[in-house]
Amino acid sequence: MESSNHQIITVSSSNAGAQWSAPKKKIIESESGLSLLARLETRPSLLGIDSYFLPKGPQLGDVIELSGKPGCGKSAFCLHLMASALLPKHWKGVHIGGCESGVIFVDTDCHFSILQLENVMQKKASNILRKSKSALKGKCVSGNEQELISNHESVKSFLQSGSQCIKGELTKLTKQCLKKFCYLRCTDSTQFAVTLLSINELLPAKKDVSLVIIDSISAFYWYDFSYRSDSWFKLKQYYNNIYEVFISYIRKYKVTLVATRQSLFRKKSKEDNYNKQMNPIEEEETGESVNDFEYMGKEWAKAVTHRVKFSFNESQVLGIELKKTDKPETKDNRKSLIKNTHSELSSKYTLDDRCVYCVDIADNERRTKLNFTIHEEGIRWQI
Amino acid sequence: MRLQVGLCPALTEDVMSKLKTAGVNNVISFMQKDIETLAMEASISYKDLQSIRNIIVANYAAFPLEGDLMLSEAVRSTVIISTGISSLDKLLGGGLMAGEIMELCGGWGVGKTSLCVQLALHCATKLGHRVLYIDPTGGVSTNRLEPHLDNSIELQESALPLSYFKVVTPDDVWGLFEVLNTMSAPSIPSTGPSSSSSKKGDEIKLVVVDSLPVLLTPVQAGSQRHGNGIVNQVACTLKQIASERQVAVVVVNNVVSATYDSAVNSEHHLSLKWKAALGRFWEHVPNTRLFMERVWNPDKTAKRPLSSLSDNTALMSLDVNITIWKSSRLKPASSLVSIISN
Repeated sequence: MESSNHQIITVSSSNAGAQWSAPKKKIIESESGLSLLARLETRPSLLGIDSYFLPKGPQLGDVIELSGKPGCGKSAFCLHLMASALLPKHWKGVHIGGCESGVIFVDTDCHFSILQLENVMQKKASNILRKSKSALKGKCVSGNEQELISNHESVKSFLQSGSQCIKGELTKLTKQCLKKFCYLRCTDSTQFAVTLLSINELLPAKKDVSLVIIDSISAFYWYDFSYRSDSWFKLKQYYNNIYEVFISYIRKYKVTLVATRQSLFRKKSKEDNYNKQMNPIEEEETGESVNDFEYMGKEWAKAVTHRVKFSFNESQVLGIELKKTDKPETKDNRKSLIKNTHSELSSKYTLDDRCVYCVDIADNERRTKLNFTIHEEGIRWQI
Repeated sequence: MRLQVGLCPALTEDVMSKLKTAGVNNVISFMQKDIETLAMEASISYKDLQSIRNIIVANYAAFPLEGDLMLSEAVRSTVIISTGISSLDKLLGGGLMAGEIMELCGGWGVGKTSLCVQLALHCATKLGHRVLYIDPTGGVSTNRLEPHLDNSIELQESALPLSYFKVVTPDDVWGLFEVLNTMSAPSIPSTGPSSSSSKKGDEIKLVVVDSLPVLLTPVQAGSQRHGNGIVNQVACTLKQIASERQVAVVVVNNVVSATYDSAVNSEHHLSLKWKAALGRFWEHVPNTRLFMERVWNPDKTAKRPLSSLSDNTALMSLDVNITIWKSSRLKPASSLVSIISN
């Protein structure tokens, strides 16, 4: 298992190297043997960070862009990825399935809370512990007990050590994992630009980091537009210059970049509006970029290897609501639902019928659509 | 940010002019260059360039924080400010979280200002935190404050905590920046003799901006670019204050009709009619967005006298339904909340 993993990594990294074209007029960079070794030293693989989201794993050097409207799960998804990346592969004989990697998180939206990340990690780990407990008792329905538990003896003795002790160990585990988490908060545009452009000093120092997350790259868009440039063209040039250098660092040090991009524009076509109102679900399927276009400049657009679009899966939410109220789906009924009394409104959310979010993943080869719900332990795919 | 002579010893007049001829005149364009290439192009010593770069990174780049240290700091210092309304606290998972921006949006007259005054006064008088109430409309009057104070405490008792409740009325968005900048400056100009000693209670813990559209709509009416640029700057300033000083920020926003916007249909499945004002960029900014709407209950009148206060006829309780539209930590839910209004 281990050796085959390794095989895949080496192939993938050479692929990523082939895709990267060197900047045009560049004097060939000299590099000492020591720094070359340091650079090429394998960082932890992110393979299996989320096997539903990316079955072939993000390869080192990939750039994944998460875009979507406000409140459709981008930041929650980032938390989920961070937690999976930080957690260990095996712990106390249980297969946790993390990547044991370090994470650099560039926060421009300030929607991040370290307590939330800790919580997600603890919940993830304790969920798996619970599963392995029932697997030990033979209650496991699927035959994946072998995968879940790698060392029966240590799991048994750990589970018997009492809930207080387990809790303490979980806290210790998350604390240990968070040591590899590096947080950079940028509150103005210059700080953000300089931080991105100086990532080449941080990456060689942190050898276990294989995931860089930016939430979000468009936080200073309008500021840059009105204070740094006097035209669309100049703004794009400004971004192109920054991202050309930044992406070359990402490729050079072979880390995976995940960045969220807010959708700030909508298409101003009247026909689209009309279609959308008539049949919102169909529109979702046909629209390649109905609500959005690449406004971060061509260097960024070119660099992105996986485009992930987030949206609400409204049909599913309504489906659940309607089942409860036993009303056919019409606009008037939806409106009357809103005006309903408090008791009904709150009852809609008391059970496990959470909002269903939808992601649309497009990379070079394929395009997939997945649904997920947000839980305390991160996100859960609906299969 | 311009490169200036004296930023570091290596950056002399001579080096500056050489850099200028090489097309480097600000911090960002310097950072974009590969030092080795630049050293050859502009014939400046590699060592000097390296030291200039180090200084720039130290001055302008974000400081890397380690996760486990952040966690212990957060555990030590995170404050959750109760709103004083149990149903709202429950909806918000305990109350207002310091470091977050919460937006209250709703139509006219649903009680946004009443709710803000109520929670700000609760924070100042009951919890003893300093509150900065930014009130460009001049909506906070003694009439507004009175019912809450009578309700909670005796006047003599409230005299001191009321000094924790500070109201400022900026005229325009520049006034807002001034207020926020003096707040974010390391030394706040002392307002009284007691604030010279830095006690725990001296830090402002809650900032209320009621309401933001009053300040921002005038600048948005002009060119889209500049309007949004200013909105972006307001967002940055508020986020900076919230995260760096661990302050809870409450922002009041209006709603606009969403029927003509194609994008909104799938966005807010509960309320298809409305969306938050101030444009698409702002929609992403708050950590949590709450939507308020009046509840018109057929069996109860919407305004009913508070049973506990029999003599005061001016006091009314107002039932509103509050829905979470967007949040980075809470799941979408809604709850009925009664607020005191007059």
